[in-house]
Amino acid sequence: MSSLRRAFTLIEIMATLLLIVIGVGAVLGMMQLALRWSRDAAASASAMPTALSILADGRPGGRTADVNDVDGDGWGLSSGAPPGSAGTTYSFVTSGTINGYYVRRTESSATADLIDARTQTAEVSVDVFWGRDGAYVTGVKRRILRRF
Amino acid sequence: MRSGFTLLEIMVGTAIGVMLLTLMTASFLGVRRLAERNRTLVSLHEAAAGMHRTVEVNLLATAHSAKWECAADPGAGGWGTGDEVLTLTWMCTLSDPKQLTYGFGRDLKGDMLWCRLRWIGGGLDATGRLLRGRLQFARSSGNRAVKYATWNQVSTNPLYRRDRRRDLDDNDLRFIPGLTNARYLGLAMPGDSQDLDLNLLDLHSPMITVTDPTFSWIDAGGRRVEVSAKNGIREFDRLDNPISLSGTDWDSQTRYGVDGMFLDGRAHEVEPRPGDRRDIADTRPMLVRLSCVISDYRGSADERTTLSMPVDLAFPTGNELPAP
Repeated sequence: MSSLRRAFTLIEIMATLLLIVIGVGAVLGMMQLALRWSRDAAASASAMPTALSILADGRPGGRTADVNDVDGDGWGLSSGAPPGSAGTTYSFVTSGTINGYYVRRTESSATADLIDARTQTAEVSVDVFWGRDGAYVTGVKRRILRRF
Repeated sequence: MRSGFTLLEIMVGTAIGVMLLTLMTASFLGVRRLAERNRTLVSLHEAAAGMHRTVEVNLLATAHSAKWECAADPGAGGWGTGDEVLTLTWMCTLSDPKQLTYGFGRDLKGDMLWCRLRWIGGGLDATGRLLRGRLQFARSSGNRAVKYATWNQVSTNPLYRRDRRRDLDDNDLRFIPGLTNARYLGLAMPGDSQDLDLNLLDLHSPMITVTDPTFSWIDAGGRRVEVSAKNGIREFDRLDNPISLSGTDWDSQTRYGVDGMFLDGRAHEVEPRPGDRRDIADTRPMLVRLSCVISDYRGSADERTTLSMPVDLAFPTGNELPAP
């Protein structure tokens, strides 16, 4: 009877506590992950309205589309240049952070798209991401009619 | 034989347990804060989406032959003090809500409805913080209580065709500049009593506050008109150089109008507005921008969260867009 153990040792209790903490921690971690995913899913409610806004407006909120966003207003020209008049072939890409998303806008048009001296069609595509290096959220592509 | 823990073991075990409990509690509270922040963020995005949805359909249907007007009231404290009121008024060509025949009825009338977008500032609190601002929208219903005689119909088309007339809406009279409420009542025109100001409703939930608003538009000629709570109304040319406003009724820091039907307080002139010699078609808005900051609002300044989001939306008013 002298070898009979009638209680847990401290080591046993500590090991049990550690396992419980690891388990609870894992559950809380998964909860955080689930919350982030659900937020991303629900917060994308304004992604398409943002894409449609940028589709129509190459200078969101009146920001300048300057090369590499030197003025720091959150919107800049990544490549190409907007045309000064109708009748030219052009292609340019602008990008920046709008409404909490990172948005990239591409517009291109050819001389064949000229309707008359002041109007020309162009193809515009807008891609919306969660951040500069974030996941893709949504996108839209359409042909628009420009009046110069 | 050991019959229990020593005091030292219990103390060590308790200390470690407390530490672990603290970590778990902190983690749980972190999850709770994250959940609360997520809820707020989602509500902000949904508010932005709701604003876009409501305004877009009404601006896309803009009736370009009708007047387009904006007004900026600096309030008691002057510009930028948070008690301004910005108002944008236009007509849209959405179907008459009482049109039940989908265009096949013999009494077909091309209808036009008034639209109004307004931001109302709540002023500043004692610490200088902006109080609640609200973005509101209203559209006339088209439901008129009284059937007018033919002569009480109004043309809704520049060609003045008989089939382009609709019943006179009392809002039509209210939009004639200079017409006070007393004078309007004196005319005793029965209508649908659908005064836009009385029917403005918030575009967002009561939990949302809207601050730092700017309405702006680019017209077909490339000019930009900007209406903000900080500066009132300003106009810029294609290169963003400011254009001086004449200070007359329809061309000032507090009111700007583009001529069209119902802008009858002045003669329909060759000039769409004083000093603007461009073709009137070049003065029509092509692209409208709405910029503001939306924040979560809990009813009082002390309870407001700090989570806010700048929102930039844009709306075409027809098929064409201005030069990029």
